[in-house]
Amino acid sequence: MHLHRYEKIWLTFGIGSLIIFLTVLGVSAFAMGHQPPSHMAKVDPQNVRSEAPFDEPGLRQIDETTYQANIIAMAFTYQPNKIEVPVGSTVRFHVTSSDVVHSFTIPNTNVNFMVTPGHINMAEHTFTEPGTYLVLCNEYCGTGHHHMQMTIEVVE
Amino acid sequence: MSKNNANLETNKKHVPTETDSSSLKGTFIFTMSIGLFIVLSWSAIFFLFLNRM
Ligand SMILES: [Cu+2]
Repeated sequence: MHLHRYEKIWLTFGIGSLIIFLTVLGVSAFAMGHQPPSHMAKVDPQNVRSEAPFDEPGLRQIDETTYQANIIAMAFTYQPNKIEVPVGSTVRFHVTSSDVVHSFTIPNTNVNFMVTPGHINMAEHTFTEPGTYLVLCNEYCGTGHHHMQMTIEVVE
Repeated sequence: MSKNNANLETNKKHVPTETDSSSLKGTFIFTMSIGLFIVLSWSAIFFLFLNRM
């Protein structure tokens, strides 16, 4: 089969970028443990509050610098509505919804995911700067959507 | 009918000679431009993600 020289160049370029892209994806998924926020962890959306971990929403310390935050999103707030962690902490957010689809978004961070009922949606973030972080819902969820927020205090 | 056929015969003389339609220069430039655009936008988003880690 005869291939034009230009065709060889752009085919090499295309296949090369595909290989680079899949390598980056593979390394971040299998070596660094990145996964979609909803993954496969499930919870009964009808009885969110009756079983662990959402029977006791709030912050739980896992080790010296790691915390797990179990948060229930609902129209039109989050429970708990405010958490406080020391600066340098890594917080694992485990969020579910007791009604419709919401989101859990901390502006200017990589924490920005949909909160789907029936799933435990997860993300992790290390807070290296002290301050008050706003959490917003960016999935339209009803008439009070624009009031839906919570705060994370990162203290020295 | 026969008159038309005669016309076609004479027109055959004006069949254009082979043009440079097999040139892939334009296709090449356009393909690589799109490729460059995709790579640049992908990298920009990827580095934004890394900066926010
Ligand atoms: Cu919402």
